[in-house]
Amino acid sequence: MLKIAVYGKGGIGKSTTVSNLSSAFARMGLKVMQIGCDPKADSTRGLLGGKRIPTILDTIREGKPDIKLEDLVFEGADGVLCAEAGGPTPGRGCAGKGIVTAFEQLNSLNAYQIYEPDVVLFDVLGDVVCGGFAAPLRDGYADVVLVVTSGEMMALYAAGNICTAVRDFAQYSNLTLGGLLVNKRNIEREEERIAQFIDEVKVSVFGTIPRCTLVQDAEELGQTVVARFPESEQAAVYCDIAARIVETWGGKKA
Amino acid sequence: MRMHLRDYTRAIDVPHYTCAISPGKHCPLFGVGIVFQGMAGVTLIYIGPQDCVYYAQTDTLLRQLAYVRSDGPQVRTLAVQLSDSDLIFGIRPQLEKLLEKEAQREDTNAVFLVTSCSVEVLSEDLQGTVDAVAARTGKKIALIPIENFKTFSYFEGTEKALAALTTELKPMPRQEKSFAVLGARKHGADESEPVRWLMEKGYTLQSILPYETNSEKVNHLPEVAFTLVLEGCGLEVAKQLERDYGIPYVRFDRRLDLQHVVQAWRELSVLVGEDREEWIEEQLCEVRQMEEVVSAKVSGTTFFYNQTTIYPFEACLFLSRLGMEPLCIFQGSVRDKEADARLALAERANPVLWQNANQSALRAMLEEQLPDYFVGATGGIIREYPVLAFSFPTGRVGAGFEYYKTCLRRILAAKKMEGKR
Repeated sequence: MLKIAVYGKGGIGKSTTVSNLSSAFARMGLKVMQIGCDPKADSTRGLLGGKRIPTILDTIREGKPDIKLEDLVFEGADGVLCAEAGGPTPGRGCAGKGIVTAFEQLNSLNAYQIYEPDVVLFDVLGDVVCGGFAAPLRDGYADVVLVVTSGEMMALYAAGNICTAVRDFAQYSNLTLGGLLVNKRNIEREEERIAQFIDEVKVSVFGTIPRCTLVQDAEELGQTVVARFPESEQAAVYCDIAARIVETWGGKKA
Repeated sequence: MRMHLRDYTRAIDVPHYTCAISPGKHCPLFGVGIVFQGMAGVTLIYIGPQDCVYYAQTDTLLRQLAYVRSDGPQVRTLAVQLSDSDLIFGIRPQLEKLLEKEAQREDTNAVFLVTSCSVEVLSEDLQGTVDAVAARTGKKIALIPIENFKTFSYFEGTEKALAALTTELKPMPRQEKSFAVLGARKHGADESEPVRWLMEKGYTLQSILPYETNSEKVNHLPEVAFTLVLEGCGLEVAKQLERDYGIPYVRFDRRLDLQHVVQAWRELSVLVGEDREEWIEEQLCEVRQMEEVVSAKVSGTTFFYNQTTIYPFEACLFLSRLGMEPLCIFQGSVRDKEADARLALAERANPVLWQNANQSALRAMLEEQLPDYFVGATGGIIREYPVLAFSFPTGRVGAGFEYYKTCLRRILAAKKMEGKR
């Protein structure tokens, strides 16, 4: 089982990227689980026809006496298993603590042992703002961290912070900073900015995703590009990244 | 890691000899109950993890039993335990409901919400919640935010509770010959040196906060002519009353600094409009004679200091000026408000500093180095060592020259025990 955490500045395209990678992994014949780690709980919509699923934390809050995996994990397109950690109303409670609790709930129900996914993707909210949002980095949850960024200054700034946090955690675990997934915005001097960033932060670019209107077209239909436009060049980009991830870090034990 | 006085940075940085302090009454939560003991018409809500709220509530209830007549007024004390779900999803809606319910009770004039560390870490807008419920119900509802990890001092809780109690009072016409005592947590304030003098002068003691007061008296605080601070925890509220209502204050407190005592008496004389210089000179003369006697007996001796309810650095400086050398100070719930005394003491001595310590810590220090005197609480273990022990009086409120002289007598009394040990 390969566990990948995907971080990046809010609005940079993490969920879109993660969902497309999930589709691509699934089409490679891998069993995939995607866990949204954001109180907005919208990570998996692209795999569920735009629908929302009950979140793990909402289910816990309702106080249902006998929570089962089927209450928390739902099958999406291409058989991808979808779960959303969820969280409190914005401005209340502790979302970070919520993520830890959601992970504990999945563990207590032996989710990974029962589903036996080949790839687990954690789609994590924005920056590593506190210990809670770093939960996928510790306790053996993630093996590899990929950071989604564009060439925009604030996106790179957030990426720099995330790389620092990952390297800090990596000192005490087998965590690997996999590199950047550059989700291009086609802004001026984008490549030059990214080149400067990787030079300063000493991180590599794992993959580059060109800007493409098909992404939005698919999203409007609640689908991934890989599922909706499988023959497109954009789908090929995601599939190529997925294949290289498997090639680099293992994936299905085959 | 050991810290000496000359390496001092902040009170909270002073190392603990041991960590066996839970449930320690050093926590500011325990300072809150001191203020509200016996205050009828008040609901006190502690909110936090189970241990915090259980012990804080129990302590408040025990204080009521200890200090108030059993048939006297009672503060309604509630303990609200946080659940895992509260931490994740927040507490505002539930809390709003609870505050509203409590505020609507007929016998409730005011509700005070006391939050603990974990609630503060959540950083929810509880002030907004409190204000909203107060506006809806027309009752006084105040927030007392407590973060033990920032202070390590129960005084902070007392100060914050006093401030919460005395905010948003309505201005009132001044009663020229009335005053209030602030900060007195135990009995005796009405018999203290400055209060006795004021009573003789025909002044009325409006209330003793927090020891003997109630909601009604608190509401009438803005009408007093001035306030007397008899213990440090009343200082912030005195400043607040001066700022908000123009009520001057005089800080006596349990000070062991003669200059301060003289200054307090001079300030009070001005407020009352009576020259007391001659009396002050008489007192100074008497005190200096006593100091000479004491100094002749104890000069050249050493001591450990462990009386946390007195200003430790000032008390050690007082003893140092009598010729005694501090070897070790267990500073307890001290706050960073003694810089002058600390710096002056550091010029004369460089004792080891520890935060609150338990008996095993005291024993360890005593095994390491025996002082001639031990000042403060010993829990009885001092009887096992050839060390003379005494404490400065804290059982009742004292102030002024009288308190200073009582402390000198305590040292002499301990010295007299020398031959009997």
